[in-house]
Amino acid sequence: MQDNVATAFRKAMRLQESFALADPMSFDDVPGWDSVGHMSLVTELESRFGISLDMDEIVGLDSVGAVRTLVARKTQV
Amino acid sequence: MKIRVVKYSDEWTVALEAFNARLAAAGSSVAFPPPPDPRIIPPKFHHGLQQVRYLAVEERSETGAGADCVSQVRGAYTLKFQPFWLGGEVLDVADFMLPVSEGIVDRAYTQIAPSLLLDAIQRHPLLYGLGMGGFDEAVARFLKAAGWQLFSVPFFFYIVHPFRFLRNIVHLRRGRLRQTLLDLLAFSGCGWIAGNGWKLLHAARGTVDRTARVELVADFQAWSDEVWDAARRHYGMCSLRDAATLRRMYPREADDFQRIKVLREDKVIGWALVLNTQLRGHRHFGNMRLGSIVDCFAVPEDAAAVVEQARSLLVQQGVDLVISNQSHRAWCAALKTCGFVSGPSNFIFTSSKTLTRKMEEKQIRPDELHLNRGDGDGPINL
Repeated sequence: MQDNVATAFRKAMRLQESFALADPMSFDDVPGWDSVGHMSLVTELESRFGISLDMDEIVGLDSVGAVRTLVARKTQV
Repeated sequence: MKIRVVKYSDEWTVALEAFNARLAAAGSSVAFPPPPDPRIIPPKFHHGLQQVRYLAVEERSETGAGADCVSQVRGAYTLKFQPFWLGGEVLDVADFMLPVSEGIVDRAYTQIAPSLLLDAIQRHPLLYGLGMGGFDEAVARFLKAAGWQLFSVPFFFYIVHPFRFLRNIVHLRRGRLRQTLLDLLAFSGCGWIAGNGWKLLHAARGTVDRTARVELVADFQAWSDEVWDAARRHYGMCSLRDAATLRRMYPREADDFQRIKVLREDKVIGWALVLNTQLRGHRHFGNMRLGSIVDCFAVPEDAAAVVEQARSLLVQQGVDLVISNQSHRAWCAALKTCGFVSGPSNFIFTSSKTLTRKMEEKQIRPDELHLNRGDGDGPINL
């Protein structure tokens, strides 16, 4: 699942394979993480994990780690 | 960060001014306008359509003694509601307009734009957008990322005065060499020969209906209801164009619009709304006198008759160029029949997932939509 989060990030932000994602990274640290990138990420997470995000959750996605944590919580059985 | 979305009201005026000031201070030319005061700026178009402005507000609780809650506007958008004819049903559809987020100048607010869109979709799932300036613009890329359908509404132009066209067409005059070549064409008369050759060729086709006639009218009356009733079933999707809606879209007091009624014998077969504007330093058309076929309606078979009457009127009035954006295949064909040439379009239509699904259920293709510069934001910059 964690690999899937990284894959979702890479697809949404069009990141190169060589770019290393780390949990503390935020908007300024990840190339392409602007409003368009954030929208792509939300769309990608929703389709990849079959989840639906509300406004507070979208606002809360302010770091790579926050994305991982949210996906883990929303996909817990 | 805690964000809530509220309807704009006067209590937010100062916070909205501060938001616009922060955007401007960071070098952005984008701003979110407060509602115009009709006592100061009389509405020109769409004044009767309900528009609601929404603000994304960040609330920060100050801690300590005398703790207070400080609210700042971090983004905004507008919904303009309009009834649409969609495959035989009339549905309320909203134009998602003027989305602005502080994220454009400060990455700390990157999440605001997606939050605004989610809020808009939750309020009204049947959303569309029109215009946007091209597929590469941030808003278009953003909506595509959200899974919205996008396609361009074709653009057509008819050159009346080749000399003034060649001297003023900003898009083609980028670069010294191009400017020189276009000036050479203009001053040598080659442009005139080419332009009139095209018109002669088009006239030789003899396909334009010349049995129709035109009347300038002050307002849309019951005759436009007759056109609407006869023609609407021929279109997959379009905003309502009955008399009452047209009067809300183009109020009588907006007297720079010319409303034309097109008749064959004594029967009204269609109408058009045209503008004749002397431009000054326009970013596309320089200082040309621009004629625009802004809006129009008829059964598809009479589209060419309506276009021809609108074009003829504008030519008689001395315009240098006539332009129109039209999405329906009948109106695109009519423009070509009347000598118009298609050009690159930056006028983009986009529909939310729910609206796209509705269109798919009704098997409506993009060229069955009737969209033009009368829709969306209305005829701005014309």
